[in-house]
Amino acid sequence: MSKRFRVLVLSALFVLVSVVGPLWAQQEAAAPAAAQTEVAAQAAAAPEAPKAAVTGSKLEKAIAMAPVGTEAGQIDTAKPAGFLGIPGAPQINPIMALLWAVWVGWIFSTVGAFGGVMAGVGHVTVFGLGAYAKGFKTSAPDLNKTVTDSIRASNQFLVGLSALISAINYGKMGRLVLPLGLALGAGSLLGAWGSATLSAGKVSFSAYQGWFGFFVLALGCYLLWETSPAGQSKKVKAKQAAQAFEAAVKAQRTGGGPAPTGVKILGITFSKVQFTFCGVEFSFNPVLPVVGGIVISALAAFLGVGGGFLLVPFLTSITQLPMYLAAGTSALAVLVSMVTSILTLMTKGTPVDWVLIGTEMVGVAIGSIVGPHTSKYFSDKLLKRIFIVLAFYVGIDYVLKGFFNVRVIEILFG
Amino acid sequence: METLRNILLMMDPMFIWGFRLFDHPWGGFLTGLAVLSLLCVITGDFTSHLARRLNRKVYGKYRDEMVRQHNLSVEALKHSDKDAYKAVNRQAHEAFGKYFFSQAGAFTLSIWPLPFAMAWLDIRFGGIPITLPFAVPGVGDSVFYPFFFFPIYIALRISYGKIMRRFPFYRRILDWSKHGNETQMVPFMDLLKPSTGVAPGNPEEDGRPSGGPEDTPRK
Repeated sequence: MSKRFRVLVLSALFVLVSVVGPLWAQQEAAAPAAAQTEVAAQAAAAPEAPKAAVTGSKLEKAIAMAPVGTEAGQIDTAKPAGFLGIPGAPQINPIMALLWAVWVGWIFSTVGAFGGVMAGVGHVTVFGLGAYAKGFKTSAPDLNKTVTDSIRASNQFLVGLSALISAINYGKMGRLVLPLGLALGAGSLLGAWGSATLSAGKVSFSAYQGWFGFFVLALGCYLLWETSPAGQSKKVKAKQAAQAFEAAVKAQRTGGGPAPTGVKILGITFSKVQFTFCGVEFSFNPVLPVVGGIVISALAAFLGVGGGFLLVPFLTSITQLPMYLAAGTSALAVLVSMVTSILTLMTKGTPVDWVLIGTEMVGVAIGSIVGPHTSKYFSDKLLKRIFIVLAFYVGIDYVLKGFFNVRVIEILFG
Repeated sequence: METLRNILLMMDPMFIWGFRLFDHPWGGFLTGLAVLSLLCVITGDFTSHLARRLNRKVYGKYRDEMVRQHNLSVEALKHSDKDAYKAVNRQAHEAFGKYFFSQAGAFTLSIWPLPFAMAWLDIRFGGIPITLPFAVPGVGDSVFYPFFFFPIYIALRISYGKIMRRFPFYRRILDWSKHGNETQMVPFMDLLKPSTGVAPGNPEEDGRPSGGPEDTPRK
């Protein structure tokens, strides 16, 4: 199983790289590069003074088409290069970027569900990239959409890391239900590719912000339900049942139990797979993993979030898959989705600010390491309530700003 | 960010020397990418181990809880108790979430140098088409630096892990940074085997060898 999974992951990555990589190479090759300089000239000459950064052709074209001037919605060529090397674009303070990423990492490791959202809020609001992109809504729509795509890709770089680690680790362990993994993986590939292909270069910042806000609101509602008496009682019941069973096992001392009876297939149809495992009956609809994979990864690719937090509950609710297998199976799907959407966006010429990504990556790592040490000072309930308030504020604000160009503060205080 | 770009430019001589090791253009280019990738792998690996060592108590606690809940869920299935299985499985998922994100942080530290290397490569080689000696179907004969850099980095990273584990000093580093007790996660495949009456997950009793480093499989 372990080898099969390893082969599967490597094959999937190979196919992805083989299919999307060449497209990326071609896309870049189609750039209006001045001269077809051979590698010989580049490497041997190894210029003493490094040349100025040359970013993707799509960005260059978008900048060239933007009006030049000092007002909003214009490129101020007199100002130094900022985000993505655009003259006059926001200058992101590296310390601010690092600190915000520490916050993102801290949330990842303590709440486990809000990191992608916070990464997006950082890019959009804290670093001022949203307002900057929005400024070009009418004056330079191409630049508006290119910066929006870059924000989406940057979000996914941060949130996709978790999928990478899990896919590697669980691949080594062979923790995968192969048919389910293939179904989810195929759905994820299709969903992420379709979503990124259809939306790259076509989503205005306002639309992205509106939908992102809508998603955050939905997440806030889910968190609210989790802290409600109904959500809490479900959790308490599960905990009590688990403790009762553990006590019963301890009382038996041997921990052995009856001899397991293995898997017995009861029936397979297009709409239902039914089997018993150790005498316990399970069933699931085999179409659901494919559809779920498509929908979840399309949504994740569009918003620039990971999607793992949606996939794992989805998997466990439709198949009642154990943690041991659900984690690995969903990881493969998230990895396929993440790699597909990032590569598709980059194939479409989306520029990426690598220095910013690197700085944020360090911050996320620091936050994720500090998080577990500090989370003991905060109760889960309190943390969730804080994030419910944040989710509702960010969600409503982004929906209003994105779809209606109105701010929450303006509505509240005039 | 301009400050960081300037720092990268200051470090230019450190990164470029690999590209000048060979006079042959392709030799120089590919060796340079390999040296840069190796620098990324070694730096990332070092920081990741350091983080694991500093956090081994927390990571160990998370891992042990996850393993305990998982093994209990296997036990519930063994008893054909679906309600207990669902309840314990839910607890196992929660424990897994905590452990998973803690490991994601440690893993991120192992690849943090990569984007900075990409930023430097972009300064040096960004936008410059590289003509291949032959046309590749679907690609043509012109590509850009990521076409070579990513495969070299991935190949080096995999090889590095495999080769270094052969050295005793590196195995000591792995031991130094590992976390959690020796209890194993019981694979569900074990439920298909005849019952031995041995408590699941006990390595001394069930004969599985004790664990490896990090979160590598302990079976």
